[in-house]
Amino acid sequence: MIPPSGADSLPQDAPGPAVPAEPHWDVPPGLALLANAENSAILRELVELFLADGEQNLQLLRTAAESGDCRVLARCSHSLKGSALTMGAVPVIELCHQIEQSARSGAQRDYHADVRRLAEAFENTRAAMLAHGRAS
Amino acid sequence: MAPDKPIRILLIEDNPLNARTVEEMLRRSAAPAFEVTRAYSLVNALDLLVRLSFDAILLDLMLPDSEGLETFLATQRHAPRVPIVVLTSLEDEAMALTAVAKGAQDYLSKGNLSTEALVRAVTYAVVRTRQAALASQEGARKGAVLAFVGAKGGVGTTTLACHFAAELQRQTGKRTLLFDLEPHGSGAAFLVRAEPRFTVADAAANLHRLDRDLWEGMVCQTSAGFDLLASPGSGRLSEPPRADRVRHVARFAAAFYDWVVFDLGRLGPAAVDLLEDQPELFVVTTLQLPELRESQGILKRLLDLGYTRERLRLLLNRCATRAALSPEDVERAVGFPVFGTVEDSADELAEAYSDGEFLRPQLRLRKQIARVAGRSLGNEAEPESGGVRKWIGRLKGPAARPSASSAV
Repeated sequence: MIPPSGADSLPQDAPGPAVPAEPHWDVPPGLALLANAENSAILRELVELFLADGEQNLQLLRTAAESGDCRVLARCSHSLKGSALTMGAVPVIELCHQIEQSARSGAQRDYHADVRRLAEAFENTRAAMLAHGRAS
Repeated sequence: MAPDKPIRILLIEDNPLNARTVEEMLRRSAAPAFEVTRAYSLVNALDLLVRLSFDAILLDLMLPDSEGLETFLATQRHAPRVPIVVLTSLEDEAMALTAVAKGAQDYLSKGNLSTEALVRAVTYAVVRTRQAALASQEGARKGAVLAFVGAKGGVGTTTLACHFAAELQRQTGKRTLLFDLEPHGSGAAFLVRAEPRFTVADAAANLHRLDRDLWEGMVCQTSAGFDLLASPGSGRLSEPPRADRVRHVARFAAAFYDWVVFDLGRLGPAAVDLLEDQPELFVVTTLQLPELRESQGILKRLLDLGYTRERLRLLLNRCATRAALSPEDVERAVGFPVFGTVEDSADELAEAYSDGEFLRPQLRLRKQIARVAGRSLGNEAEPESGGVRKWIGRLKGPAARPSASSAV
């Protein structure tokens, strides 16, 4: 059910954000229909909402990874996953899903590394969304 | 479905991006048109369901104050006639199917939303539900709510509320609940010698999973036949239950009872919150001047808040047969008609309590409460002989202002 992602191949301790040279993001069909020629502003608005929501959740996830707060880890990864689902941000969906499932089961693991990978995937998506905005 | 009337949607979704997407998708639909109201949490949604009417609900199962299938079940219990379409995330799909098995109309994946799918799902849900409603014609069962509030602590509010509930049960033979919200004092459970395992606080904390079975386990049955939901009492170390949650518990309970009697204790902010629907409200006072003054203040405050005068009942408790003040004096002083009077029955009650028969129907107090309850029900009983008769007679005298019950 979970779409395939290239995020798994990211090295866990990669130094600095590994933003691909050509970030890629496909607008989901439902949103593409919504954001037709007369209504392109809605896509910009949704991208802005996604980025703002993502920043906020990532900040909370970093703090929760620090303290090992599984409840907050589960809640924030679920929230970001919901936004990513609507926006079709596939790598973000998968990483959020992994963090959420682990946190819900109360598993103690290296959430720092998980959140770091998620932040990288989010940065990739941001770059792709901004590139898409410039191109359209 | 009238073609010119928009379909009213309650969108229960805490995620701003998802909510905005759904709102925009529905806004684009011209025929049918949609009117969307958003709720951010389960309690927020239950509040809106009480205040506004909706044709359909779009529901995210994971909310800040409720998660999973319980979110669906709670929403369904509070709005059983409104069709629900569930919005799902990845791992919610199995849960969404369970929700459909339990009565949800449909589910949509957030990862695959489109205007077309959304409009079709909601429109079908509304049409199907309206057809089912027309076929069943089953009306909503809803109990009548009454409330008691004391001018001050110690005026006997809980005693009167207990006997009033017992009388409603006896006179009408219908299911009655005493909902004890009195935060201080001994509480109804102590008086009727019930040993509740759960209280209003437990019901409020479990609002999201409250159903008939859970409810039956939370109330205790009294010797007089009415059910009691006990007060959390004054000994709690934790925060008192949130007023908005208590209000929803009360509304939920009203579906199972013909009569719901609130013992509100004093008129604090939480009590005012519960009086939003303006139940018939008994303000209990004694003839002591501080209590009379407080009762005057309470009545004024309620009227200022927009309470309908005809829904307020001033009840004089512990009236001595040779009291210095008559009900007419009270009416003149307080500026409000006296609905009923009850004699001082402290000795009788103490004896009944020590015998474990606090709710004994033969008590003098009970007979006076029977009259007040009868009057509230619109059945004027013959006055008793003795002191009460004198009081009632004086109540009906020419000096008395028109009472609130005169229209009954």
